[in-house]
Amino acid sequence: MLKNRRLTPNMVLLVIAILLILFPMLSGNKYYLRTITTLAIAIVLTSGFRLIALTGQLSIAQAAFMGVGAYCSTLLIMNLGWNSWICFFLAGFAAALTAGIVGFITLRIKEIYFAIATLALNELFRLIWVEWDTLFGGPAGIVNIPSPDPILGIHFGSVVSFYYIAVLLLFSATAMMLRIERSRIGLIFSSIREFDTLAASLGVNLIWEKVKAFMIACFFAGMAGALYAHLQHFISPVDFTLMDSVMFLLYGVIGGLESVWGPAVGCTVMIFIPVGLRLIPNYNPVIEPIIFGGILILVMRFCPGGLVGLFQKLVSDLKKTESQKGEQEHAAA
Amino acid sequence: MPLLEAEHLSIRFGGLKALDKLDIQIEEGEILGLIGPNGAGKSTFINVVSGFHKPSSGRITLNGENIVGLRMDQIASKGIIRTFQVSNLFMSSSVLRNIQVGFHLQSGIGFWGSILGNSKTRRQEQVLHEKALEISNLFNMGHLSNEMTANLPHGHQRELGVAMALAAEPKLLMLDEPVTGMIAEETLRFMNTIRAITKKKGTTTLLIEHDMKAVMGFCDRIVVLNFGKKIAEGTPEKIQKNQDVIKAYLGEKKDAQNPGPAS
Amino acid sequence: MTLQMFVQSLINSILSGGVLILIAMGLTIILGIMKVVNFAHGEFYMLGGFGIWWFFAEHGLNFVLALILSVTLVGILGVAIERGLFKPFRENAFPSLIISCGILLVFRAATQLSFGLVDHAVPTPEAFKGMIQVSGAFLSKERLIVICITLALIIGLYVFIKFTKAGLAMRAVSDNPAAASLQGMSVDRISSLAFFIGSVLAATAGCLTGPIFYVSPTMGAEPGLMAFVVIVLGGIGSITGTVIAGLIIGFIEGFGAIPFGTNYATVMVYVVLLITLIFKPMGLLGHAEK
Repeated sequence: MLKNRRLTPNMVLLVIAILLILFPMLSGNKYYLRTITTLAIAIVLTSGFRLIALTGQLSIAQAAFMGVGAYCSTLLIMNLGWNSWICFFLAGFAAALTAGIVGFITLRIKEIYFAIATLALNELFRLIWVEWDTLFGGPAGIVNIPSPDPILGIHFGSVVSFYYIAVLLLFSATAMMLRIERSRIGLIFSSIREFDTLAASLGVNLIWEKVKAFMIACFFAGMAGALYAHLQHFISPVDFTLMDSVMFLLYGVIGGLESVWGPAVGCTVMIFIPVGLRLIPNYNPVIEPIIFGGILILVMRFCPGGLVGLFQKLVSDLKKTESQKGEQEHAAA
Repeated sequence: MPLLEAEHLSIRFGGLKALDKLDIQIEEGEILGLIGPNGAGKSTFINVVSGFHKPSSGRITLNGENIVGLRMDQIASKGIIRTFQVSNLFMSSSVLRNIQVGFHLQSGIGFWGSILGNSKTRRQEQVLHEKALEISNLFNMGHLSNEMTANLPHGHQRELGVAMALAAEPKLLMLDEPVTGMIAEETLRFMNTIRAITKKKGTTTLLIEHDMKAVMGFCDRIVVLNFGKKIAEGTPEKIQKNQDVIKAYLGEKKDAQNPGPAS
Repeated sequence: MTLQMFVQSLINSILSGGVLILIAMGLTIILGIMKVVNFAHGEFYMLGGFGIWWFFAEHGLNFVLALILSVTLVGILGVAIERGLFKPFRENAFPSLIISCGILLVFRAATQLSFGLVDHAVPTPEAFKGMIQVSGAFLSKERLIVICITLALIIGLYVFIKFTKAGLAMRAVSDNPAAASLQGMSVDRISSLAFFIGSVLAATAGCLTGPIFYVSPTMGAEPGLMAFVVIVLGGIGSITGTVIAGLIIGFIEGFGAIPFGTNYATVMVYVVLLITLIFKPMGLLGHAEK
């Protein structure tokens, strides 16, 4: 009965992609375009967080790597006048390289050291950006970051053009995550999380695989950071704090880290909740962390698989009852 | 030259000498049984050879090349693959995925190949898939290949552990009590399968077993350990008659009548 | 560097080191015993500070009474959180870390909502006022007293863990919870005790430093994070390592702050941490665990 009109994940993906591409033509609302642009950046970051989690590690420094990308690209463009599209990729490489170095130092040991080291790392980067003001502009940050250079006469100054760049980045990052998920790379990553000693006994180089996941995640974080810098035309250390990193963890966990769709679901829900709440008159945004933290605790406590996990469970329960019903009917006949 | 040679291998845990100046040679192509009472140091030997523990002193060479101090994955990539005594599987993955991880060293699929998913990679993946099915068929698990590992009956779980190790195409396969918890019939069938496969492929095998009788018929040669020391070595027939071995096992039986602390 | 500056740096180093140790000790025993990573541990410090501000500064209670009251309340809150939220995630570091992120968000925002994002001043108790002159250098009596109390608490805790029956039980559970519970130790009770002690110590640190610094909803962020640095630098699970690492960091911050500024001193702490991890991946006194 269900079979004929079942939606495959690929079809859902296609529909979402088409909707995202058409959205600016359907609605000129800049607030929503900006929100979706932010959402796309958040999904890229959270997917990276999830990729690292796939190897059994928690990184609470993804915002810092976003910052590495943002500062790298901004400085190269503004001080050296390089082409912004090249810098866009260099931002990714800079973040990945930083991740590689940090990873080799901290991923050799038990997971918990890595998680704590990333905490420290985020704070370390923030302090460097604050203190090294001749280069990074100090607490005031860097202003007047130009829009990306035009390609073939197309200019990228408008909200709509940023929207499309962000959506393109989201598509490529998601495609990469899907490929990893469905290939041997993902298989090996998750084998480490499930049972690292067994994986090592079959020849998996634990450190290198973990570093690899960390570097891929940070590559995309860096690119997202560069995009963010262009989008805001302004960056400062408060854009990439530990609390921002915690938010990516929160989005990922609430969406569900088991599924490749978890980050997208988590980010969408958690970014649109405040959008909805702000419609309430006399609304005090200070209450938001309480709601966010509360949801996080509830999710961890009652559905550790996150929203996607909850959905999958409901679907499988539904199928079970339906098949039971079918059996009963069969028996009755 | 033996395939693997351990010389004067010692390891201590606290004050306890788990291995005491142990010398063991494993010849190319043979099935060597390593037996001994509980706590004799059999599993410790596998743990040391596979790089899980570092020996306190002594040498281990594979084809004359020192392997002490290498990481587990480096030792595995040199062709030494081991199984574990308990819970040796990726429980929440399918049978096929377990075997697929076993192919890690052989897959030949690189990072970019995986990401791009081009036709060459797809062909390689197809080959691996077929090989994985083939291996699961060897252990009569072909029909279970999409089953979640945790749902398998115990016997199949033990077999899957060995199947994964075989997927890595080891030069030296080290099996840590592979038949624990199996009934006699299962043990016989499983041991026959292992012997058939390893002899056909020429895989050198180290078989650890607590129960002497279970392995007698399958090993070319047997080494007996007690308290981390080698007490006897030779053909199964010779070992069965060896007084020291009988004493070591009898001593244990006496202990069993006066049960000590629960283990 | 003048004598006055040197002595002042020394006092500040011991003070910040001692406060860090007080917070980090709780973290390390909770991590050791329950394998719970409490990212929100710094918030107990913050709540302790708010307790002393509320009872002592706002409602004029006696300082000691206010301290005991707020510390006890925070301790009870700690146990409630342990029972209600962390209990299912014992022996499971990552879920507990994630939960604690949620707790952190809730605590910080709830305090901000109740008391605003401004700094609240806590007056110095009468008995703590004044300066002491030691061979030409002036020392603040308040800081000296706080240091003495802090050191006494650290030594007390050290003795408690190393020599008392309850401390022994704690270490047994930390080494092997299954075996400990087989021997009739209640892992539940010991976990609660550990959480109580941990939150009480952090809250005490908050109460004691309240009058020296200010009290604000975000005051727990930095010491909370630094306490993690302390336990990683010292080696997770090592009480002695925690003390040594706390003092090292205290001294880097105390002596680095004058020539370089506090931010660079903190950068130095992180650099020291990373360099240590290169050469000693398990921290200064950490041992490889299997």
